[in-house]
Amino acid sequence: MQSFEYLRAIGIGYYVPGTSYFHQRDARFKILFFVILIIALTFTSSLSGLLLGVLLGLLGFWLAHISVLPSLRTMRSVLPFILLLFILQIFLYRPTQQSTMLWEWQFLHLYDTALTNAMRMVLRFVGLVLMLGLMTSVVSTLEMNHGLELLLRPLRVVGIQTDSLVMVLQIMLRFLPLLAIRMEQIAKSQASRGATWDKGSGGVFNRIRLVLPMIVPLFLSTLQQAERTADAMLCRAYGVMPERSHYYEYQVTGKDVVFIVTGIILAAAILYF
Amino acid sequence: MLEWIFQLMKTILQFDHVSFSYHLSTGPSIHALQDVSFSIASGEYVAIIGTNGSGKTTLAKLMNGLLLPDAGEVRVMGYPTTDRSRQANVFSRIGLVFQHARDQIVASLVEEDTAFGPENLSLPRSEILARVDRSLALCGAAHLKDRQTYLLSAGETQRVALAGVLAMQPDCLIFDETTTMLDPSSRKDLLRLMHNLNRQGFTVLHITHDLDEVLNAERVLVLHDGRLVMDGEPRAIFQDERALHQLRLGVPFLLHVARELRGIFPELASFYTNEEDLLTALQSTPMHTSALPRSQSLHTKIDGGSHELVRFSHVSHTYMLDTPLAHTALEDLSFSLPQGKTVGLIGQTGSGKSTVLQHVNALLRPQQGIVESFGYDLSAPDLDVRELRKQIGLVFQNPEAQFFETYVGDEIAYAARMLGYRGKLRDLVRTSMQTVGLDFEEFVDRPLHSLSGGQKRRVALASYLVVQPGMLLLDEPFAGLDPATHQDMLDFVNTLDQQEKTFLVSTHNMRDLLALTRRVLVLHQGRLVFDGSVPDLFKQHELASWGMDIPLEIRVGNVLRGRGWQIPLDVVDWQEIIFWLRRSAQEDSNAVL
Repeated sequence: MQSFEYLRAIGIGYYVPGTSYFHQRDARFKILFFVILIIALTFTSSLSGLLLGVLLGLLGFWLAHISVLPSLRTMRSVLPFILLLFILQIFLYRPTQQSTMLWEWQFLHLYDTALTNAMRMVLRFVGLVLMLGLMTSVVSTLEMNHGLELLLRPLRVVGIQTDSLVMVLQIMLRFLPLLAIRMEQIAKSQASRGATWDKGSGGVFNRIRLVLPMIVPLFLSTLQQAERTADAMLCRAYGVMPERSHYYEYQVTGKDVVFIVTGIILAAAILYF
Repeated sequence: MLEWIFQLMKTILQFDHVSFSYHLSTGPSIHALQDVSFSIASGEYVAIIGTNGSGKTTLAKLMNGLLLPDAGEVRVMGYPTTDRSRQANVFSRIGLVFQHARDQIVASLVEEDTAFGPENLSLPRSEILARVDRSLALCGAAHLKDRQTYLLSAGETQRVALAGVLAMQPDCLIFDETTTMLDPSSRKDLLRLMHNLNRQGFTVLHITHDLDEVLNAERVLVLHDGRLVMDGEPRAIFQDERALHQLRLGVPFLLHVARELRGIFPELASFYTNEEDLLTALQSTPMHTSALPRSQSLHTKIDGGSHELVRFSHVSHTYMLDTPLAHTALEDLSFSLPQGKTVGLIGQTGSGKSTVLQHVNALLRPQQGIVESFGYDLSAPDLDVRELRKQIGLVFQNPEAQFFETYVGDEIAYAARMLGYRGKLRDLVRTSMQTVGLDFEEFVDRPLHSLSGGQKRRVALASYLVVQPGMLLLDEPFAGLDPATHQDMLDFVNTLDQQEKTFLVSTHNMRDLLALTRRVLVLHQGRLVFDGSVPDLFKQHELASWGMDIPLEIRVGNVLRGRGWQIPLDVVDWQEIIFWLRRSAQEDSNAVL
């Protein structure tokens, strides 16, 4: 009944500290590993490859000693949309020459290729959610920043300010939970003045009617907060020197190399299985 | 010449006829500071005081070049802040600690956050490692080094924010209302830390509107409407009571107490820098003997006899249930609240006060246990929350931040509109504005952003009172207000209290509690550790472990009772204590005659 805990509704995005195989890998390699797999999952058209991806995701959670439940909960909240898309995929499908019709009723037709297409979509979605969930669970924001900063460094040759880019990401990640908390606060203050925010009351229009006035104070306070953070960063001389130095040092081990090679093989399997 | 150079070396910061205005795209510019001149010597402990909006924060931002003056010059170590080539030097020399520690943390791990400044200065890695350890140790935060920043308590976050500034190795530290939002024990820790740092050679500039914090500063600057109106030792500054009242600052509570006591004990001094000195001085006043029997107090005892409005039995609550971040906020809480009484809810930050308040008007439903409010069972799935919230309003901390309408009238009318009082909106708004002391005709069509801090807080309260609830829940209603506005709000809640409204007020300020209520609930780490009368609370031995201090007036009362003065045991409010003292003294002089 905790209808106001917006933060809780987001199942992915929490780092879960641990000492598992995944946790111990070098930040850059972890990011690369997941990026490769996510790309493979996004572009593969192989049904069995997608199925392999989903299984790998589940296996990963098991290996990392992390509960898969939060990621599943995230899926549940978008499930209606996925189902709707699934149905649309099936019935608005334009058959190709290889398609065979499985079932027919008035203007509705079900082709085998439509079914596999729709299944592909669902598996892709589930696989991606699992991979993203796993990645955010084993890569801390700190590792994400440093990993990205190091991985993107070559781009500086072509004049892209990778440091600033990563800093933007870091601050954004820090702000998202704060935003959810602010939103919760404003919603609660409206609710205690009679707005019906609680679950099961009013329809979509009621929600929209309530959200609109919330946007103003939300943006205002977020902007004020952003300004304060920017001031605090400037006070600590951010951006004053042309080059920053680094507190952390990363060293690559043989295990990391094995890890990334495994990642590439798995990605290939997903693409061509 | 030599003296001039010596002076220059000693002067760390200098303001020379500095003015600054904020230029808005609409409307006139706001003159935040006008013709301000002063200088700060290395190693000084200087307090800067002034009401909300007097220009304190602008001053702080000018000091380290975050803002640049419109006119005049700010010089750090002799060089103007407008010289951008020296920017890195200025930022590392002058460290600024803000009010909201959480906004200053940029990284997810403590050590990484502390390293942020040195990284920006492009220092070699070995130097960064050394600075991180040293700064964390200076703040007493060495044990937090590998902790995640978002899981720290308020006090810990404050220490980490300070460590991040210290890692820049500044000579001068500016604390911009850093103590305002902290609970008493974290605040005391931070003040002690600030004095320690000053003793180790740091120049400390302490910006605040809590006057009791600045008594042991070496020097006090008073800002009013953007001008520097006083500059001197605290002893001299606080001598001029009338001037301070005109500036809406008043005098520190300790001096107020000392001066009232001096009317009875002329041997007391008129200036003390800390409570202990006053109490020691009181200990050596002559014993008082009175022929009269111990009198009864003015108060009737608190009784639970009247109608019960709210009842909690065995309530527990866990946030983020079923996620890796789950944490227990309340554990097995049972109590009840009678009608028509103000009850205080106290505890440190994070002790569960807000969670309790949100259970009373069903913003949170009980996960375990039973909550009954106004006869409704809040676990019932078919609970009519709208009917319940007509009866109970919950005013959140900093309610102005949640304003979303443009005009005063609309903001106040919101609840009435939402709860279906369409026909008589105007009358309801008028009544509630009268209750909070805002003139209807003058304010109803004013834009909210044009109001002062105190007026905004009134509008916020009016926006809840508009549906005439039987009960109001106030979450830290006085936090962050300057002394005069604070007193206004206290008086106002007290007048409402007399109109048979029931209040549940959460606060970590003991003095507010004494002024408002006779009954108090104490939360500590999610458990109810005390439920009883205020005088009984101060007899509890565990008080310190709950993070609470005994307020000055209680300690003065205890000392005087020990010296034989007739002060009833259940008298806790300063005005009553002094009333009893004066009465005893009067009786004595009558007896002599």
